Amino acid sequence: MYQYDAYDKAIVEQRAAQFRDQVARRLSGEISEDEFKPLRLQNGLYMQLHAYMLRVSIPYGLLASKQLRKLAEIAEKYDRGYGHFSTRQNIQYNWPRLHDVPTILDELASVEMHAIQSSGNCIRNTTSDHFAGVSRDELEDPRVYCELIRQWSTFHPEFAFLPRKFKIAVTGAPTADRAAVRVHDIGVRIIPDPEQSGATACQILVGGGLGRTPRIAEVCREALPREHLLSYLEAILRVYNRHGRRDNKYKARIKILVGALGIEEFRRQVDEEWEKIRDGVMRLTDEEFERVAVFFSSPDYERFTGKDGGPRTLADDDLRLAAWRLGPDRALGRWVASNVTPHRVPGYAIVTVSLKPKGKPPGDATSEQMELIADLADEFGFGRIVVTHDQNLVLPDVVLERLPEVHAKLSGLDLAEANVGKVTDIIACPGLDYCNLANARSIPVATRITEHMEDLDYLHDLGEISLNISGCINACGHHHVGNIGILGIDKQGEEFYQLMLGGSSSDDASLGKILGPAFPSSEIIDAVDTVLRTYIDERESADERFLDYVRRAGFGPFKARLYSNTDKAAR
Amino acid sequence: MSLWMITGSSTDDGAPIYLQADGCWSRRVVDGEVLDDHERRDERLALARSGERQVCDPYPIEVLRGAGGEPRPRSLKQRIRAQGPTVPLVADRPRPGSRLEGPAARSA
Repeated sequence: MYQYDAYDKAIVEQRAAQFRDQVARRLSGEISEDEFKPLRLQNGLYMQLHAYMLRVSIPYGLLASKQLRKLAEIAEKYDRGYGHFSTRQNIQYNWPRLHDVPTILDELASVEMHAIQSSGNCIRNTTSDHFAGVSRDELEDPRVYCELIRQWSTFHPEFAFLPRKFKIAVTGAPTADRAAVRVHDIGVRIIPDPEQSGATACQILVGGGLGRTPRIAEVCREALPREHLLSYLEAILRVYNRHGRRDNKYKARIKILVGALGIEEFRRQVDEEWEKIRDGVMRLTDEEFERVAVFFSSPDYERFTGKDGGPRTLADDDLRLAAWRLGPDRALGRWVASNVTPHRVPGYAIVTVSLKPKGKPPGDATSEQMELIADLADEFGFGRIVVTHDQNLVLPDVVLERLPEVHAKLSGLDLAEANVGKVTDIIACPGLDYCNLANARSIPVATRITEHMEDLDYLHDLGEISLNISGCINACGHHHVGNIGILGIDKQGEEFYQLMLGGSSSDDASLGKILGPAFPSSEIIDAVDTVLRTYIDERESADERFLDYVRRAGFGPFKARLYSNTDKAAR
Repeated sequence: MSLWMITGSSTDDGAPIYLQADGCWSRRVVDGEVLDDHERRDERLALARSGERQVCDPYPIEVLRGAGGEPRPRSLKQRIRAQGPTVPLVADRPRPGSRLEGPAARSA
């Protein structure tokens, strides 16, 4: 993984020292909260309902074991013994004292981490596929592109005060988008170069996003040679910086500009800007690309022997995984079925560690859990961990034959919930339990759903379903792109929840639509249950995914069961 | 008749704090001064804003009187803010200690 050079190290350490001075001046009363606020936000420090909240950047979600241990240590020493992994592949601490934050930043700097640009109207942490570098369906490792973008965007002097925050995601798997690139301000898809066999190019999507005006991104450039990636991104940002609205924060994201101009005109303006800079200093030479790529070369994978004495093959792995899935140990079988993904290297497997145990807030991990996962990464892999945008953690390089040991160790700390990709693998924002902006609680709805789904056979029979919950229209819980989306709203002081169906953040990206009148908190769990039972009863076969059923059957069957009662219909 | 209280976040740790009748801040909503007229509310808010070393972004909230006369916030958001998250924390460590000294350190 990438390691800081002297420049990276210096700017991170200098920023921490600078913030220490700013905090001292705030605590002494020398500067007011109004003066301090923009300074703290530039360092990822928010003020939430109960306390400050510090958001720490995890570039493209990738952590070394020593970094995860440091995050655990910070949780233990300076917070309440846990952290919350967010949909931006970051970690958030919910209870730091202001006095401690500069020391936390020093601790982070000691393991090449920081909180810079995790807040404010700037280019935020670039996210990526959590299976980057290890999945079989990957065309090219997206982390190299992400790191180049990170270096370009960090402290970029032109883009420190954009009209609004700006989010970029990159995927290197052209047929398996796990990074939700179509709902980002800019999405980068690495695709086969249509002009040159065997080469790759970047498809550039622009203007996607969620929030109060959800929008699927449109193609701005069909196939951009990689050497032009940074100059093209710079051209997009310049057009946005110049014409994005600054008079209304609700209309300030790039998606509004793209929608107002139309993609053709937006593209024309970008191309016009790009022509001025495309062959300048931002051109990515092969040498520059290699300078970064070398940090993401494969670890020293062991070559295992197959059954016939020859080299182990991917087919051997698939057979082994299938045997576990169908084996007598049902706990292991279910876990392998849902939480283990085939690796591109024979003899290895990708393990997704669910941070969605029954009855617990999605995405939260205790310091003990973080330490255990770091230990497992060292013992069974190559010391790497990845944070997923759906708030789980990944051990990307587990020796396949040792999966039962990993499962047993994870089980000991409530980390082996076999629910990845299932309806209880819920994305939820912090909601009204923590967030200043929220209108309703998200976490209790998530925990009630997970507690309601007691029958594991039923859970697995439901198959692949995403369920996303947001506590307000800002959509931090990505409710628009959940197969089932839940949006909390405030109706005259009472929490109500709107149900949406049909969303997806993957290659078939779509925005969910509201099913009907909102449900009070006391009825939302039963409503979700009714939606699931309708699907089970009406699907063509177990092979028809929930999302496919919704798209085929429409909302009629769901509405008929949910709103058959006239009282409910009148609600 | 509407009742109000002045609240803000402690500069030290961001905790909710409530303005008392003696001009100090408390971490307990029951200690906060209940205000029943606009003029008094605006005066107290102005006082709170003058002490921004200790408090961030003070503002008035609506409160109700409970059966025993104790004040409690009218809105769910403010009740959660006063009482803490409604879901158990995954780790139950105590909140990092406050460095506040003097009257404002009077906490639950």
